[in-house]
Amino acid sequence: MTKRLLRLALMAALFVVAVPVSAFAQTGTVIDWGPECFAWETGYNATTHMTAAGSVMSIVGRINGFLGPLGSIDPNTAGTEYTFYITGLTNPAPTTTSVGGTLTVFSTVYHGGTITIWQGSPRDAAFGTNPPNGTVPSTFTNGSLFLSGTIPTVTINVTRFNSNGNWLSGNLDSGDPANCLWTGGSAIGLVSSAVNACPFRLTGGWDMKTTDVLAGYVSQYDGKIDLNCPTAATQSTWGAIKSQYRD
Amino acid sequence: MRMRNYFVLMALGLALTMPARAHADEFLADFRGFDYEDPNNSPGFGNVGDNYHSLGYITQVNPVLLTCDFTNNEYTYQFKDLTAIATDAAPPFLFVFYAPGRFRIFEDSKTSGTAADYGVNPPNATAPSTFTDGTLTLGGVVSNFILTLDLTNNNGSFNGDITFDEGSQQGSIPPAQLNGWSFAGLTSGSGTGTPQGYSHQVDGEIRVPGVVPAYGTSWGKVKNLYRR
Repeated sequence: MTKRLLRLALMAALFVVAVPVSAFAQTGTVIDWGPECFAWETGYNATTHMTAAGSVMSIVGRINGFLGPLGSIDPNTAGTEYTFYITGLTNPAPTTTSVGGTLTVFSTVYHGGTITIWQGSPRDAAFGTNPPNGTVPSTFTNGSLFLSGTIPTVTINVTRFNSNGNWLSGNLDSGDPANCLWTGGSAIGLVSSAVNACPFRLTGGWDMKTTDVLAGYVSQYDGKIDLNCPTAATQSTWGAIKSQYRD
Repeated sequence: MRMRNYFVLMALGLALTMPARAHADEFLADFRGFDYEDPNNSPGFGNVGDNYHSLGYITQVNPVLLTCDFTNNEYTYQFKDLTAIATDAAPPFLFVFYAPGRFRIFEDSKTSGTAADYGVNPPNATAPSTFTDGTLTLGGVVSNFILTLDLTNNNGSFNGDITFDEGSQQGSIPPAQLNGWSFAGLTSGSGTGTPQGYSHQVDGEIRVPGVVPAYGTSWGKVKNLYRR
């Protein structure tokens, strides 16, 4: 009986060693950007502030901070820039509203986006107006590919006053748990655990005040990317396991 | 009568050379941190009577308005003592309205100062103290602070007006730009690295009213504007 229990215990130990641990180690923010990021979309109605079904959103921006596993890279080095281009975010259904006594939240869900991050020199990214234009997205997608990834879904909620229609800002979130995935680029090894690229999450503040948004864009997006890396499994031997329990 | 016309034209000339308020806002500072409630009198977030706080790092500034040396100094921020006074709802969203509080930016040497440390379950031995040491660079009263929260996932955003009235660099901001505002996205859940006891990861900006530069012109052109 004792022998059988010992065998079961050892089998359980082997299972733990051979199967990757599914618990996620939170690594937090790895990429951050501030005021230099704007979004535009094809089906936004500035009068009703609603987005029509099928509208495609794109975003361009310049990164101002790398942290965690990317923390050794300074995106503000003179003459160099790290820029990104998010595109293909398409909403299958129009914007919905949640109406309260004083405020209303406008919610839009987008699917099927991609992101590419570029290391470029010189520092030439320029937003211009009414994108796409002569510099957007071209000056945000020049240089060498630093990272690329997929963004399955994004939800944007923005709040407005019922009384006068003035905007409060809102937020963007690609969802919890993180389900965006890195697919390529020179830095993919830095955002991977063992051989697997880590899931990431896109979040941040979404500002639609017309005084803050360039002509032809729909919003300013102050955001970031959080990494959510799984803890890798460690290979071991029976001997090593047994030695852990020997005095 | 002729004298009065001169006064009118002089006033117009002055108006042309003085900066005028613009329609565009200007970026002042970018920040990223975490928030918490203290006191948190009842379970959950955003209950009336609870005080809202946020601590974190200033990650970028507008160099025209603020002088920061990010190589040698650490810049931190604090939103403090915003008391929830009312709520409204548009399910699944909760709106929380706050009485005025304060916002502050601090500069602390990376070599001789103390590095900011969130710790856990704030307030604690290092938070907010390690975020509020050093030199008070800029501070002001936060009013009209409103927080929107999606109760299905505990994410949201905040907005508030800021009237700057203190700090070593208050004088470097033109008087017309001392009434700014702030917005931020609030995120909770996995991947955010939110320390235990904090509620959300906070990512946002401070903005101020922009100014339109003055432009030169001639008396003749000024007078032409009024001839028909």
